[in-house]
Amino acid sequence: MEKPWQDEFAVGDAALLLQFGERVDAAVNERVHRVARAADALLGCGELPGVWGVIPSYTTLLIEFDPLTIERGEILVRLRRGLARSESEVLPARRFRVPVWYAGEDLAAVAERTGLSVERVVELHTSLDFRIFTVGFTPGQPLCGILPEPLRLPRRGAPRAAVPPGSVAIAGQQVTVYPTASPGGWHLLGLTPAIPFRAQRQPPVLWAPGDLLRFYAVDQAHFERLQAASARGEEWLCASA
Amino acid sequence: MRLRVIAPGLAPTVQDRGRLGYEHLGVMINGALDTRAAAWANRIAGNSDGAAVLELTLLAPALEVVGDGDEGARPAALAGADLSCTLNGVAWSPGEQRLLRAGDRIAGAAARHGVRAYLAVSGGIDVPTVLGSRATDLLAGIGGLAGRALRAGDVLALGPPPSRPRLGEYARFDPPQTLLEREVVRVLPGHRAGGVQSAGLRRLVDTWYRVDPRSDRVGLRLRGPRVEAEVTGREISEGMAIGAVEITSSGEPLLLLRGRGSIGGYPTVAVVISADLPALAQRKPGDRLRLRLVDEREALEAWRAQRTVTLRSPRWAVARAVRPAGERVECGEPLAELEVMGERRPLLAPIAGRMLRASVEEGGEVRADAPVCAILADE
Repeated sequence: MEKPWQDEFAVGDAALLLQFGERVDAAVNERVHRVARAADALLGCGELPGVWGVIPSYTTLLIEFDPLTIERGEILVRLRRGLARSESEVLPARRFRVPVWYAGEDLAAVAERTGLSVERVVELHTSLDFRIFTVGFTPGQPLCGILPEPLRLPRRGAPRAAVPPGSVAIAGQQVTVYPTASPGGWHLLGLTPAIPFRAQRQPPVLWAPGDLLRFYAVDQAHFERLQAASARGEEWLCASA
Repeated sequence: MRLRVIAPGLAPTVQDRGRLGYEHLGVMINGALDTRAAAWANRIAGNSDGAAVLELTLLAPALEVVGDGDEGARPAALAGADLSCTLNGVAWSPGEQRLLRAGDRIAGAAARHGVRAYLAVSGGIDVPTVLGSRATDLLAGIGGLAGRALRAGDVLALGPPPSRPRLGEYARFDPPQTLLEREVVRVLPGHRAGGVQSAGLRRLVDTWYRVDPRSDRVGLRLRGPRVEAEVTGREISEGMAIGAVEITSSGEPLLLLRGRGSIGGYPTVAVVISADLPALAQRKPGDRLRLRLVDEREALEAWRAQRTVTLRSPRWAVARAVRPAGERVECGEPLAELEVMGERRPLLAPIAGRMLRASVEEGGEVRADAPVCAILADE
């Protein structure tokens, strides 16, 4: 079997990081999530005692553990063993159509800095499927890519202390939706009425890594109707195969 | 019995050991930042380590104990920072148990030592669990009381007091060494430092910093010389360990605490060792802080020492049936039997964990306050 990851790093005394590649790439990311699924399966049957956290990201997997219960080397041995007997199939991607009211604070600035018209920015942003590489930073937040070249901008110099919840934002080759009023240094294109995370929902997060997001433009009235539905607890966002 | 908030002080929250198992959904861990002090408060109050407590920061709230009929008194304890707390006007120091009765008033004044204090009441604070935890996550707005800090007028319910076997007694155990005034915190080299000899890491660990007022439950920001992160400049976001020392794009060190986001993009140049994480929770804006580089062996020894609880005999007795090393023990289970004048009484475990060692042989004598055995407390 080929080596499942490229590098292993100790991260302090209670975590280890597996690195699968050097760039943001769907194939690399799929290998990350395959090992994450193997870790979940092992945790589910009690075969990784002492492991209490698993965080997959674009190219890496962070594993958090109690070093007085299990050693780093033992985790790697068990992970390789679990991987060898796990299913290698790629889960079928689901596609979520996400409405956006393109009236974000930075939309005009993004248009200016990229030399595109506002209409062209929206057209590019709604023209393709974005893969969810991982969910994180804040609950339910999808970290997606890969943004087309003409839209790529470095992060803002000064991050905002709190972005409006539901903000749809871009930075570099990444795309995201901020579910909560968290700090953020990305460029805000618009707002979605979708609620990515509800603690009481099963599952709490609708989408998973590997799924696709396709944004579409709505006007203010449509946005407000959907936002009111979200506030009533209605689940109008659904996925197609 | 319930607790009513008369004046909130500085944003107190309900916390437990944190929301584990949902980091892949981006859910932060949170929980008590000084896990050690919170566990200590719970142990003195007679709870398991994971019971929900109040985390008080710098300025203690004023609380009133509200009765619910014919219920008696409940044990409660404070641990961690010394916020000049009082019960009905009488000083209540960290590490002390008090009995709470209906009508009692808890108050505080200025912080004398440290930043975060923990108030544990027998039975724990009873708020609904969200994703398996009662911890307040202020950013996501979940857990605790409606996902927010406490306000005047809030009323907190308490869980049923833990049922303890009537016969037998609890072993005595040593109070933990205080971490309130720790100015030097130990770190291991980070995986994005570019090696132990890198200039960035050297600069970071040889410098006195001050804690910046913009610090919060997410992390401590350090003010001082900027660190040139001539680190491997991967800008691809990755999972962030608790205790990671990130270098921001402006060269400012940021130490991540238990309220941190699961994923981040700045390079991890160093990582605070597990044993010193509680000390970070007790640094306030303006306090000095320096990082010292150690090796993993020292880190693990410190962690083991911190989690080891030595249990002592309440009286001069003959030890019988001491549990062997390696066995798992639950809170309230017998660790040994103590024979005094022909009577055998079980010695019960005050915490859950793993037996590390027996300090006496079968049939051996143990004097009052002498060690019977040691337990490695669960994380």
